[in-house]
Amino acid sequence: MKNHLRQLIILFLTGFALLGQSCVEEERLPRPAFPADVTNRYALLLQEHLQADGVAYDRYAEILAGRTPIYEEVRFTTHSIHGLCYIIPYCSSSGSTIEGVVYFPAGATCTEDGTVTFDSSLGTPVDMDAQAINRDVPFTERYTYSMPFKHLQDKGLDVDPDLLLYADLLDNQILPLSPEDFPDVFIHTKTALFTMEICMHYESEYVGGNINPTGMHPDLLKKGIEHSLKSMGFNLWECTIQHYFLTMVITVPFSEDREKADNFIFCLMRNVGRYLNLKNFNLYTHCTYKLWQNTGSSAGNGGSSTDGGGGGGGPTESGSGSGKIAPQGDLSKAVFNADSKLTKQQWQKVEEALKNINNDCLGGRLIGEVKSKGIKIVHSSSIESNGSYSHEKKCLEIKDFEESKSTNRNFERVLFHELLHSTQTKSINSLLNLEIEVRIAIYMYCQKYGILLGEDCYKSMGTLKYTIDEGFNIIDVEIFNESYINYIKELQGFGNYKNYKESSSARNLETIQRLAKDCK
Amino acid sequence: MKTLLSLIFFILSVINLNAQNIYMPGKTVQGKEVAYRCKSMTKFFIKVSNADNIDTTRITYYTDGSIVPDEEGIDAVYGQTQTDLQRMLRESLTTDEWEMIKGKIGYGLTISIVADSSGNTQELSFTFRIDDPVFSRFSPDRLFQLEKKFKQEIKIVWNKDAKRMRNVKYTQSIDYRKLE
Repeated sequence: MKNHLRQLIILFLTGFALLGQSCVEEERLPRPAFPADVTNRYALLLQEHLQADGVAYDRYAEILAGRTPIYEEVRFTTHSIHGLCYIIPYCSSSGSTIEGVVYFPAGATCTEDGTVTFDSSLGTPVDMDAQAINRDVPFTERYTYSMPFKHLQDKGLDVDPDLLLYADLLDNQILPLSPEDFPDVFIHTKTALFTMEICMHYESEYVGGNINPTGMHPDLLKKGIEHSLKSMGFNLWECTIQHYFLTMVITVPFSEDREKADNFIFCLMRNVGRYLNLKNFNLYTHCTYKLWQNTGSSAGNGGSSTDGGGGGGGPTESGSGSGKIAPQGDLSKAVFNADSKLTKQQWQKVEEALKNINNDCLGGRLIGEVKSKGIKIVHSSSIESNGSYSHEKKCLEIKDFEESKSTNRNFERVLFHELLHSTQTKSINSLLNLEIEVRIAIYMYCQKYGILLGEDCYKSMGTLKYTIDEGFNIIDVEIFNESYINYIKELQGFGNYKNYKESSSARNLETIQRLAKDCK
Repeated sequence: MKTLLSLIFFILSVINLNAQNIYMPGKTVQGKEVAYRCKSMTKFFIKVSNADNIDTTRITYYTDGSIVPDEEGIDAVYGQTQTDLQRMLRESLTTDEWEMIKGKIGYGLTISIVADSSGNTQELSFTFRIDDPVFSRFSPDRLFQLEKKFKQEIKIVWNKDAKRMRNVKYTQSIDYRKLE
């Protein structure tokens, strides 16, 4: 009994000590410490909400670690991808150049007047810097991300030029798009006439007098589109307007005349912009569109148009949108989701490449691992690199399927490269490390199967390869580290990678080591 | 006694000379009919290039003169296998030299190649570890013989209908671990 009592006392004291410890930790939670001279009302509101929500503050602190937020430029907008959100620009801790923004999604409550108000809950922040915009964001969405930086520059702030790329390139522009660039969200209406389908990404900012954080409900945008279409002489029963998976999709009957389409989108967007101005919202849009005929074949006129506050766009380039089918072949079906639409020839190329990859020990495991991910593959001829993988969207973009080249295994290399990225854990602070890891695997794969690799971007591999074994275990750490540092310098000499962050603590080959474990 | 000391000194000098690396970063090493420029790749690796090599850029051109974009795939295949490369190397080394490098982990010979639009090798450079047991002491004239052999045999074969390039840069390597 005495013994039991002693044990009970010990347990009680331990529990009490643990309780005390957790209280101490609670007290140690960092508090948002915005500078005292901040006057921006959205920044002050954000501070207030962060103080009330420890979890949100942790996320905020983590994403802005090592960065300096520019509190006076915090905005509160409705974005077609992020919904209602705070936008927080930031500089690096050492410089004064704006290097990106954080989109901090905010919960919303609908009101009867077509607006939404902030419900005090905060979501998961998303970092958008130059490389994220220019690499991870589809071409058809880049304008709405790039445009806010233009405004910051107009205010006299120093902005990383790479962030302005698409604001400058696409402002009030109409650019050609290949059919593969079109977002796969269009709803086809039954009609014998030509139909124009407009896919609209937008950012909208409240400019009225309401002191509470206010955003635009998509229904208000819909009303604005309906109002504008009516005023332009359209019967609404012939048109459809749907907010479909983060995108506003508008279909209207139209003639085949591409020049008319050009003017039409400019006018429509201008009218919608004016309508929303009257409702106290500024609107920035980035539209893509195509013309098609519901006779089984697409008219295939398409383009991308952007507008900084109330204009529209039109077509310039044609391309076929027909002949796209869901995944074909066992491996393609297993790896890519049913939303993936490619031509028969492209699927053949994908299947052939997947077969080769699957026959390799590491490649087979890679395919096994990506099977459950539900990755979407798209043809995107406008991307800068040969391929690109977005972790957020689980979308793999391929620039060129090289369908006509039966003997070239370049496509296989690109596909292998991007699939490897899909198995890595994305970290914005070590993107270059992730790239190097994949390139090491690619180099070894190409060497193994005699796939000719140009020396571009692989020069340092000539020395690095001797420092690792077949399982990608590092056998000579000192030489590996030196070659690795050399490779960092080499890759940073290429345009795409110069802004990629590198972390010395992430110089490892964990993903490919895991995939190649016990491979001979 | 004096003679013995002189003899020991002489022998040590010869041993020391033999142990010295021929190829040192920043130096140009002269042979009878060739000169090689030596450049440090890293602290541990040295790149040795024929002084007559003229293409020191990383630019590759299409045959119409336009520049091939970074990382564009080369629509060709290697004209030789790893076994072919190993054979070429074996034929250029003595048995002792071969034994010294055979199966050696962490070492290898990397060959940087510039090919023309027919796929033939125009220029090449060697990269090896600064303490490579064979190549650090391989005479420039012997290296030149190896270079000529590689130039003659190493090529790429363009695929049918390939958009051909010139000044194509690629590498081949012989990993000593794989030598038997």
